[in-house]
Amino acid sequence: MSLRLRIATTITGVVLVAVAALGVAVHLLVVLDRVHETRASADERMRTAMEIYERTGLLSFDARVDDPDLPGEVADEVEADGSRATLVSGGGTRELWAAGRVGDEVLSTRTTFRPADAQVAAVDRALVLAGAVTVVLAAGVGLLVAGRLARRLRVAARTARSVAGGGDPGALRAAVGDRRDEVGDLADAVDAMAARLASRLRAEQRFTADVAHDLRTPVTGLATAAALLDDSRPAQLVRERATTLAGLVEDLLEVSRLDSGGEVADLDVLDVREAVLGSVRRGVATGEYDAADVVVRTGDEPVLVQTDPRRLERVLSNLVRNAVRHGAPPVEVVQTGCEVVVRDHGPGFPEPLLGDAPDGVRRLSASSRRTGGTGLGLVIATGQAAVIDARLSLDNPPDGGARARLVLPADR
Amino acid sequence: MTAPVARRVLLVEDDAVIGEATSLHLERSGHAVTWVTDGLDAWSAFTEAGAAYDVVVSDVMLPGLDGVTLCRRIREVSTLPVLLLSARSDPVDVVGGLEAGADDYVTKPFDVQVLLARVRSVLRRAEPSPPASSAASGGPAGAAVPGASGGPGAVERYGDVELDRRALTVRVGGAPVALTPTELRLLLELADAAGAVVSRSALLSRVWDHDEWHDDAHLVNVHVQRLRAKIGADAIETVRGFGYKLVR
Repeated sequence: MSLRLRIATTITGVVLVAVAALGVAVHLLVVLDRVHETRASADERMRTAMEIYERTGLLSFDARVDDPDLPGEVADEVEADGSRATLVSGGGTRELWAAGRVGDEVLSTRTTFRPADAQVAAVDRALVLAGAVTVVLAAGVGLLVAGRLARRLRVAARTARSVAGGGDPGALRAAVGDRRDEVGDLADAVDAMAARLASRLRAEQRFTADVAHDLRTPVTGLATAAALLDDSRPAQLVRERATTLAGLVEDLLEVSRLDSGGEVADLDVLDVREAVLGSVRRGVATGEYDAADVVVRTGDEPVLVQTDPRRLERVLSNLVRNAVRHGAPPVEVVQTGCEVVVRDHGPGFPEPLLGDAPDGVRRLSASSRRTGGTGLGLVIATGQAAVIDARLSLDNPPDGGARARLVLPADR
Repeated sequence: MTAPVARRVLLVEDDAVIGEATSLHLERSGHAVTWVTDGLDAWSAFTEAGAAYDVVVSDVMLPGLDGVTLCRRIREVSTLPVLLLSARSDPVDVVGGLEAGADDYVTKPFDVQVLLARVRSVLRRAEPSPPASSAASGGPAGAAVPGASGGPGAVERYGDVELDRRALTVRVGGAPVALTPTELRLLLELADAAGAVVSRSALLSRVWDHDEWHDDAHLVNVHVQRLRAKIGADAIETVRGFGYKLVR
């Protein structure tokens, strides 16, 4: 049950009970008033009857003398105080006794009447109608007020979700309006939390960038100096590790640049086929993988797109390298129009990576100890793809392997 | 292909280890290296004895005077080849450096063999001997008067542009224009196929000796822009997605 319905139902329920109680009370009061009135007029008639009887000895107003049916308590009261008394008894149909003493005799009248007559029924109808209108009105107002509250909360939730998805932290207050109430408090609290998290994140990104930057120069020196070594096996080992280390530092710098969000695509027009073929040729030429491990299929027609050639190359080379390193050959690179699919026949991507715009890439790479390489390749591919507005999605086809699909925005 | 004569390299690199290791590499491959660690020192070394160097190899991030500014200052007075060392993840440096007039760049951390190949390539471009198409020419005296003694084809015209293949000089509207060795080579390659499109990768491999797979858009684009700025924007036409053509 939604908050709105719950609040509206509660308000309606409370109003219903209140109106009902009020109605019953009014009804009782009206009935009581009728009884009182009848009693007073009976008493008045009795007084007149007594006067007539006293003067003339005639009975009027249906009065009887020493009626044996007269209830005891009325008789006792009349005896005791020597004046008049009345008694009403019964429920729906009331019996009204009025009695008075004239000398030694007791005059009495007996009337029956129904207090809930047509007049009272009219009052009841009016009460029911007013009650119904009040309840409906309360339900309406309840829905309205609760609806406004629920709407603000819904807006807040939607905004919070968009902040979680990378939106501007601190947007919640603006979204719910500047009313000072609990919803506003909640918005302020969430905004403060988002701002705190964002600043923590920025600090960590800056730290990563600084570390990578500080590492770069010594590591480049190491790699350059290692290249001076002879061709002995130990020298080869040092050289190879130094080169890998230098590459890692560069990857880390690239990731921290992408994280900072200030990256802008440097657009140029190129043929997607050429980009794909060139990237694989480069990988083979630099000895990253064997030509035999990577099968490239491109379309027949040139496909011109406007994109950043360097970034596209970073995406493609990282996808292919990742497939070669973590998957199993043959790695297929298939270009169709603006779409490039890189597929291997290994164990497939781990579960958290699958889907569009994989947030999981980072989580996984952060905790990745499963393979010799780092998971930075996919982080870079994802980040660079985002800069050139390309869509990168990862999945595991049913017949095995891992598949990365890159769709470039068509040339406008 | 090691140069028979020792070529003199002015190396500008502020990091001690990278600088020393790089000069060792260059010396091993037969170059004479002068290594300075500061951009201002490099500038004074150049102003004192600019003619003594065959190529400048400079880092971009430098104390005193950064590599891009150093390159721009050198370009104002000289066509001495400049090769920049830039970090891969700083593409802005690369474009800035090329626009300032650098002939080529190598990204750090560089493969030493790549650096040596680029140095050789840029030195070869700067060699005075003209390309094969006019192999019969005389010495590099530069005394050849355009049109005076040249046989047919010695002076070629492309719109306002006059290209003397023998003297390796270029005039635009009659006024001589100073091109860097790389710009000249680029113009010669485009002139060889005048009126036809030359692909970017063909230019990279013929002008810069880059491997065919090394498709570097910036290098060609910026050089074409520089060439256009010198010989006229309409002289070279861009064919989107394919390459460039020199307009006849």
